[in-house]
Amino acid sequence: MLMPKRVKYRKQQRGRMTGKAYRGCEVQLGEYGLQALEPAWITSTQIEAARIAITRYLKRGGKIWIRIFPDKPVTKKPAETRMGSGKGTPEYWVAVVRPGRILFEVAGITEETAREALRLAGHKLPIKTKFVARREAGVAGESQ
Amino acid sequence: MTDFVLAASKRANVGKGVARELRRRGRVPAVLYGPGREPAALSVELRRLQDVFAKVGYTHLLNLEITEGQDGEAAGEIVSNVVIKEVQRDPISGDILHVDFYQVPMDRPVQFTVPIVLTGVEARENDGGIIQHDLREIDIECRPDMLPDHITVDVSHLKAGDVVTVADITPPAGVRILNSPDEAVVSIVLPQVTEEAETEEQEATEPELVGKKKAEEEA
Repeated sequence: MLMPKRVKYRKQQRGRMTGKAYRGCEVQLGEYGLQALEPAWITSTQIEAARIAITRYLKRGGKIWIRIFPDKPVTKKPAETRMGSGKGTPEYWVAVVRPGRILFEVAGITEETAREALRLAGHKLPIKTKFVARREAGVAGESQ
Repeated sequence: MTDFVLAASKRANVGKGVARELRRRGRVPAVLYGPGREPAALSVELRRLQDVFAKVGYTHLLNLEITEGQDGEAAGEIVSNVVIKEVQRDPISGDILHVDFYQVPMDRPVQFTVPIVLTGVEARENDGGIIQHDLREIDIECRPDMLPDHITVDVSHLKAGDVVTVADITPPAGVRILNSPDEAVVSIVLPQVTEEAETEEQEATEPELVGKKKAEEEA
């Protein structure tokens, strides 16, 4: 499961997820990508589930890139605990995703295969996503 | 050389309100600048811009026919030797939000970014390797009249494990490549093996704290 090796602080405040992703919103490494259309915290488990879905569908072909990393710890208080006495303990890790962010990229496969692999991956995530193709300079390469 | 003409009109007002109004009317805010030239705020028709941009990309010179007034009713000047320097897009819809036009000086070399196109992909022997196109654009310096549309790299002779670096590219005459010679352009990689054996279940161990380790080492 993805998580940072070293961190400066164990716990973080929650923060906001307003606006769009202006960085990491283009297919950079592969040929096709999966783009987020909603803001969300994507957990390391969900990322792993989506990665496995793509890998299993592609079998021995293609290359995958994961473009998000869960670097935010989420804390949780134990069940049946009274309020107060400080913040809970870190439970899991999430990646903060804003609309427009490219989540996964694939290359070395046909568009049809990529579309299906990323569709399966999209079902493992808690948000709406869309399939996007690399935008070559001057050519709009996007498809719904 | 500059066969492409794009009509643009000057705009007196700038700011996000004006830009949004222009986009609602099917126009795109733009700016024209260059050496020895005051930046001029312009607007262009979206449809026409999309057509021209699809043909010229960032590597063709074009002529801008700049007219006065909001919808370009009065005839105006023609600015030649202009390249599209930057296109800003909406991250989700991909709509063009703004365009930068740059009037290039024709008397000296200028830096450009041109796409790298792979040839011989179909002709390459099928050895199970995947063509990984690592560097898709390359920075070059040349006189604007010698600007190539793209740089081609032949992959037909490559085998699995081969890597083509920037040093292997022979640039056209008058063109100097600015990227590091060691940079990989294209490599033939073997497909990833499916990791069916679920990667050993590492139960969420906490990451070490940056400050804590230092304190321990000092102690």
